[in-house]
Amino acid sequence: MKVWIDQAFCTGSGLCELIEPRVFTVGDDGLARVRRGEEVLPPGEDNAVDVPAGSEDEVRDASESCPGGCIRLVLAPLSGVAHHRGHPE
Amino acid sequence: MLTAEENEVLCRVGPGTPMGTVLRRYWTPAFQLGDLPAPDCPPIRVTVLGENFVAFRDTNGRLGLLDELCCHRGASLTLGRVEGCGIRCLYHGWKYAVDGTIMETPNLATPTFRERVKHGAYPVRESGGLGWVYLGPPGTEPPFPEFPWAGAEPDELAVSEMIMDCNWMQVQEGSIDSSHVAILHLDTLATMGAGPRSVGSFDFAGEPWDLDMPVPGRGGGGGPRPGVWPSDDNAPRIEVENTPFGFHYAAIRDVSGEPGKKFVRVTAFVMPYTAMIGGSPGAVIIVPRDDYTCSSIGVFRVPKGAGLGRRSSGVDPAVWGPEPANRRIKLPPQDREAMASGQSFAGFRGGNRIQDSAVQMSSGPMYDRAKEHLVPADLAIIRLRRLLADSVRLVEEGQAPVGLGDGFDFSGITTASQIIDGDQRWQDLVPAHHGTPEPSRTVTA
Repeated sequence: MKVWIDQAFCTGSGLCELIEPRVFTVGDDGLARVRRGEEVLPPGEDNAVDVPAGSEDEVRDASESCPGGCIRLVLAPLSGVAHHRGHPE
Repeated sequence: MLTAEENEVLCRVGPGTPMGTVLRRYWTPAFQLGDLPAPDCPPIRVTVLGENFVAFRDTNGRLGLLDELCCHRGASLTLGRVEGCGIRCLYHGWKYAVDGTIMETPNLATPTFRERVKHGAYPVRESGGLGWVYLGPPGTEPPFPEFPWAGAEPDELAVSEMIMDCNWMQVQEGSIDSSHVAILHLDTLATMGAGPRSVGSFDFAGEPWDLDMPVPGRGGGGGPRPGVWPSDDNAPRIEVENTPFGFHYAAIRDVSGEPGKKFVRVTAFVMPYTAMIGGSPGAVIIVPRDDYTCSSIGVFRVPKGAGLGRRSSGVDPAVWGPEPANRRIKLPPQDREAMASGQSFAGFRGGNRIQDSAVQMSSGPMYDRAKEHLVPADLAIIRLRRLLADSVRLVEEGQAPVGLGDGFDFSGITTASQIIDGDQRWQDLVPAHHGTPEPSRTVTA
């Protein structure tokens, strides 16, 4: 499973970082980003990160709970087509 | 937000539904013992998890919980006669024992049928003023959870039940939602003289108008309780730790006028129904009756002799009408005049549970969580949904749901509500919680 932040919809609640700080962080601008280890990545689909083992449930919780609906999950393909989850735009 | 499908899984509790299957793996409080006070007293209908049952106390004082409808031709056994160590259907006189044994079939002379067929019957336990039932597969009963108040005498317990017209999760999520307390329940705090007296542009102008409201833990009567709510901080930080019974969560607030201190309320949530709220001498237990109604049960320790010791909605019969027919919540009209004049923030007389009911039922029969917007103050609600979702998955995989507490002493569960130093751990206030520390969730930047 991969995850990325569609930052145009981020409301800056910080809920994602509270739920899974290993994957999410809130920047100085108050908006969320994903991280790969210590590296904080620029927002956007091109910087989707693999969800580390043991963080899947937390990342799903963060996605389900996000008040902006901006946490996009890219789930493992079931039939050759990746399945995206998140707010319809 | 949840998808429509996830919301359905979370909310629906009938037989065969994912959540209904999970909830049937726990002991479920289904009725008040005060409704079956004596051997051979009238039976009662029990509606729980979308099914109807008949409960009765037989000649020897044993409780029985049976499928409601007679297995002959479906008449309700709630009309039946309780006599001779059983309950007899009025229609053709079939008689059942508490374990479902068919004792007599007057219109069927041969014994083969009653020897080979049993009526649906379920284990029942009596504890803390409530009848607890187990509706899961035979042989899968978990250890019975003996709560801290289980050994209390009837006159030391105030047991009450309000039937609410909304899905159970709307009420359950409210029971672990600390951040609404000093807002929705501002009238209650003001009545106790215990905390903040303003929200936004609202300030109390003199005394609140509902001075007779029941005050939490008191069962009725107001009066100053300064120090109960020493904070004006309406955005508590929420920390959650899983435990063998579910989770503890702490709502941490700044203390008014005391920098460096923090006001901590630690609530224990016992899967899947029970919230032991920080600082309260008991619990709120939310049990689904069906998808669109639930029972909000209160069990509180009170000074000896003050317990009701009888069946109750917790509301004066002069207000709602006689028991037990009038437990369905009746909201008083919202007093807009008191709200405008500064005598009331919420405008609902009757205390916390009326105020809670007003907002929780206002979301409709089953709230669509696709339209919600959670915030950090809702972390305990997120954890509740996680444990329930985990339980659905585990049960589907043939395993036990979470929080059964096998080997855990439920009587040792405690809560807390106090001011502590800024560097003090809230976990130390609840030493029996056996929490699961979550250091792996912390990263160093």
